[in-house]
Amino acid sequence: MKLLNKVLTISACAMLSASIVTAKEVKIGVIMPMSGPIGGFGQSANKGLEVMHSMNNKLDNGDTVKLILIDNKSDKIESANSASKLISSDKVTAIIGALTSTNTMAMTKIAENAKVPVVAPVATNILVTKRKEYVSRVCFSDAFQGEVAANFAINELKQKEAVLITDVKLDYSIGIAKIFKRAYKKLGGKIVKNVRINSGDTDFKAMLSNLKAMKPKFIFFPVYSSEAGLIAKQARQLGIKAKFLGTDGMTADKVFFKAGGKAVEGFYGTNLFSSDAPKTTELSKKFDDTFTKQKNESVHPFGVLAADSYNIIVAAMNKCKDPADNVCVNKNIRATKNFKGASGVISIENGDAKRSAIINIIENGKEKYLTTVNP
Amino acid sequence: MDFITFIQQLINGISLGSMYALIAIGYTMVYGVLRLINFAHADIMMVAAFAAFFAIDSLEVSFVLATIIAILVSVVTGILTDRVAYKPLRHSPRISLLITAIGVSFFLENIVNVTFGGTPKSFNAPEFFDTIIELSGATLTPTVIIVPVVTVLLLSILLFILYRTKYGMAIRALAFDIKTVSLMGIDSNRIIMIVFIIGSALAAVGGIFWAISYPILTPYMGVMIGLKAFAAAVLGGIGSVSGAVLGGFILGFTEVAVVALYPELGAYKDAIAFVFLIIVLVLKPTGIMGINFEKSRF
Repeated sequence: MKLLNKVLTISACAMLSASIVTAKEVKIGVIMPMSGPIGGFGQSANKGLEVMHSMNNKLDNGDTVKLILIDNKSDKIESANSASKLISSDKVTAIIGALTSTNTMAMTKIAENAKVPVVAPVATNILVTKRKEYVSRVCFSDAFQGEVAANFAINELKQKEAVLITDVKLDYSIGIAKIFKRAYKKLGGKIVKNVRINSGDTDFKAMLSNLKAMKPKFIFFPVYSSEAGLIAKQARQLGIKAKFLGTDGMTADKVFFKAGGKAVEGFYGTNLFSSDAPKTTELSKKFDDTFTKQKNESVHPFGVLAADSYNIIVAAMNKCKDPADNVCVNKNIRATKNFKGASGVISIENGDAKRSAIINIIENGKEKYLTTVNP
Repeated sequence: MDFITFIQQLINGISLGSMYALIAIGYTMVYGVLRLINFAHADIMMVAAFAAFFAIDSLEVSFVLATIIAILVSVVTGILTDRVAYKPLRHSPRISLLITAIGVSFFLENIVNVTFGGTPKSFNAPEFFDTIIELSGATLTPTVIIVPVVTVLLLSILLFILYRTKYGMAIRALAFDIKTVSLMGIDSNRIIMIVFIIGSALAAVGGIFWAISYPILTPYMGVMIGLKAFAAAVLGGIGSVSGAVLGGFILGFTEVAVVALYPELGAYKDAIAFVFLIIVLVLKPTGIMGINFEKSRF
């Protein structure tokens, strides 16, 4: 009896100490552009992440998840430096981030070498996950977005001739343009003109005046919000009456709507997510409610995808014996199948999420949901 | 290129060129007097644009009042940069002054970055500037007419001040020989302050025109504009006010012409504009209206 008592006490002590040991912190690094030209992107994404973290900051075994946010100032080099810092000094288990394609691609090599899994919320460029063991994303790749855009242009907008505007400083823009060109030609369309711009440019009037002389009917421009807003405004000032189709980067920052004003009415845009689309999971409803309550605004596509990056990492951690084991976490992230996230059902294959795309039209300064395209 | 497109591109070139010109005047004047390339000048333009943005967006004042506020803010910033950063270095080697100017430029960029958050801001100009005027195929907005007119008007006023007033004479004298002029009993610091006031006010006007035409503001918007305006000043002959205006127009036209004639090279328009600048400078090192600095000024 005495012996049994002793054994029990010891085991109880052992359990207690074990639970003290395990109730620790797991760190997830977050790299976002919180300032700089695409600071609006990072701020929108981070809001979603904050809300999701407030909804669920515990793992199944009781560990707390801590987020460490670093601002990459919208810069490639800063992104790489932030990744080094998170890995070597903060010792994070996983990284959410760098958000966009160019910045994510600048840091993936560092994460890859350190075997720290990276989940990118909205880095859609094809090359982001190519030949990478530790990089995944919860958005689709541009291979899909470019095809969706080409299909929509031919089948819905009935436009067989397109002018293409590419931002040659953006991996994102170059990637989509390439896929769009290929898909559009395959469907019988013709690219009548391919115009190149630089992000950071403000004067597009000379370029647009040339286009105007061609009387274009349809313009596809996979560029970011600032340039898209300025192009829209100047195109309207010059009296260009074409249909415009943009991509998720166009509407990501609200500066596009503000600067564009009336000029962006009737623009079409492919997107990753729309809070007006029919909700497919329980979490998406819950997230939507909590988000609107906490932040007093509607859910931003970047926010919900940042939230899902977090959810997928947490789910992967829950499947591992040691949630801080980065190799195991990565294995489980990449094995994600039919995960019911805040943005819908996500399956990850070779690091890329298979998910549907949304097409919106801009009406009264807002995106209005048109249709969903499944892969 | 058909005739209407040509006219349209001509208009584009004029309006872009006049904005470069307005900012180039500031570079040229400060250089003429202090032999200083005032790198902070374009950032003063940026500060003016943000001041106007803040006045309209947060204080909700009218556009005219916002313009006045913006000019005042940039004039004060201009005077302060001179008093705090440049004045103590009047007798130091010129390189110290140049490095200080770069420092002031970074300081202004970052202070705006911290205050306004660094994300692109959208400038709400009055509807009036968006009115579209159709002229037999070519379309204009009031901005493209107002900007060149105001530029030429301001240039005339400036030339009047320089050549017909006592202060203008003092500025020109200062540019000639700052030490002797001080010995003659002219308060050189006061005259330099006037130069900064004129330069900053012109930069503010340029900044507001820029914000109306390209309504997205970032703290680093001044960097590229400043580089180009400075290039315009050098092209026209640094130290010469009329040269700066001419240089601004030439640069604006070159940029538009590159895109208009070779649309495939559109992404390299800056590079081509600068190559053109280098060619002109190789042929005429003092710039187009270049002046022999030992003989005359402005």
